[in-house]
Amino acid sequence: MASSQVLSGQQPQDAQQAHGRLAERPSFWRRTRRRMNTQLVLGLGLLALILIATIFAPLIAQHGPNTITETGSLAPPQAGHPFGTDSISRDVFSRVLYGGRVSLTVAIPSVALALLLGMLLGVPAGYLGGKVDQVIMRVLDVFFAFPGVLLALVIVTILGPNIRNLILTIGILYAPRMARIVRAPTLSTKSLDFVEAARSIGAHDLRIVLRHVIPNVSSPVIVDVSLALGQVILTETALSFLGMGPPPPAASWGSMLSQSRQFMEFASWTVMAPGIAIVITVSCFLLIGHGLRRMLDPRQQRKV
Amino acid sequence: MLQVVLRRLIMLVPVMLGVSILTFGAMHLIPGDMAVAMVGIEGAQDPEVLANIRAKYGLDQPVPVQYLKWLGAAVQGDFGESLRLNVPVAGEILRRLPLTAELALLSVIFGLVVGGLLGTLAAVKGGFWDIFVRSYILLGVAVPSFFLGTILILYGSRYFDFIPTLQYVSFREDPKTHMLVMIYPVISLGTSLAAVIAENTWSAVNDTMNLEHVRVARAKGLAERRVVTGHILRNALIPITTITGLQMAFLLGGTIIIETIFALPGLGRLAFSAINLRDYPLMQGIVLVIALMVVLANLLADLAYALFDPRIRVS
Repeated sequence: MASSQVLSGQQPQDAQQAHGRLAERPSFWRRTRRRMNTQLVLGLGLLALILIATIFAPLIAQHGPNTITETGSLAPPQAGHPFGTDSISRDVFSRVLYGGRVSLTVAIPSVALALLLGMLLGVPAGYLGGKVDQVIMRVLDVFFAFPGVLLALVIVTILGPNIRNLILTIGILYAPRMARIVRAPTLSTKSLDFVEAARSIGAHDLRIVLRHVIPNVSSPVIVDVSLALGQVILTETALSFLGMGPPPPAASWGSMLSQSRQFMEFASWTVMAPGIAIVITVSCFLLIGHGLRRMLDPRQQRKV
Repeated sequence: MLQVVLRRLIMLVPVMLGVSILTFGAMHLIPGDMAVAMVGIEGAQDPEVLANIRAKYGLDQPVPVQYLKWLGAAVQGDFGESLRLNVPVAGEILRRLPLTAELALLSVIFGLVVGGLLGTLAAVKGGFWDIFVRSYILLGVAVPSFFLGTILILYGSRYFDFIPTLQYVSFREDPKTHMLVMIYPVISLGTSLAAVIAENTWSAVNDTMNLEHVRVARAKGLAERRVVTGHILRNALIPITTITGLQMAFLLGGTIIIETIFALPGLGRLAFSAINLRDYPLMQGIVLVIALMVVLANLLADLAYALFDPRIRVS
């Protein structure tokens, strides 16, 4: 069709039309904005707030996270102490802001580590298949038999509770589920036509994986990374709550909550502030995850 | 059906072997000398004490030999002796197990009832329920169980003073008070499970709602209520069972936190104190038993799945 038009000399006009059509096509940002949904917008908005609050914590907070103020202990919320003070008269608002730093410095590297390990296990399992797949997946099955919190508690206790060990432990514990998430789309991509085509022109396996498989795996992965960030924060705060988080005086939300529980009858702000901070942060990542899933999967848009 | 059960039971063996290796291996991550870690710094000053503990726990032998000995004993129900409590580990676990099993079971029931109801309402009714259930699904997962438990203790003791908090009463002592005591722990543990179940019920009901057999049921004039319970939910139950099984590991992990907050003398609290006291034989025993519970719960979910789905039952 196109070639006959070229032969009959209609090419310039046709090209112009094609150019016109291209110009009508909405820009990348406009297309993205059209596909955005409430969940995603809400989640990204919260994320922006959380990032500003944690990155600029020293500028926003009027007190240091460990500074003992002169206001007195367990003072209710007031000017200068929006969330009151804790049992040794530290400013709860500053501690909540700095607590966000602790949670994010654990969560982001752990999820990155889990993703890296998950890719290293899941891509070969899906791409090579056969025995490799069987062995890798059976080994991962073992990990799914353990409650994450229990295994993390045991390992962090044995290695010693600090931020580095928390990241290593949580990262390794989340790797199996990342591997599962990565494996399925790898498996379905490897038999697609364009991968076959790449193989037929003699592309090396590594090149096929890097150029063709991994880009196709990215949508389910990006959804799960977001959901995992929320869940990792829940795990980290649970460990901190049980006393196996970053050692004191680090302001972590879980340990703030557990240390304030004995005073909650008359100073409820000391438990409510870190608790609500956890809920907002986790909700933010879950919203982004659900929103992205809806945006990337057209089937989901019609559903729920 | 029998074949399905047998096949699944055989598949458990390699998984449990892996579980035991991981459990045993985790304890050997301890930096330095295991015997020193076991007796503590004071005990380590005395070479005789060290030699005794090495001989008692076979720490002078190569690690693979230690593993095989430990596994051999564990298979026969012997997990050794607790370092701090000076009682056999297996007996202590058995004593604490029923309460944790009860807590987990009640939470699963809570999750299925609340989650199933909310998911179905959202799918069938829409409107207000759509927004309400959507928010519940988000917050149910985002609110950590330890925060929910804390709120329940804080405000519960103010407004519902007939529900005792922080004092455990066993079923044998006083059945009525015992059930009251279990209310808050079950809500704290079951809320996130209910959220996960609600989400999956919602999409399962949505998927089933327009299937042919449901349209036939409507066409022959069946009451909407009967259509939902008899035809839609029956089919939706299959994915819900699988999801519930997959959540068991999370649920049992949650008992550690919940039993600690509510002072319930179950396996979760025992696990936490064993970890805090560095009681390695007890830790090993509990981790192994909890993993076994997870694996068995998954097996039960699979069997229930086969029971609900005639296609699997027959083949």
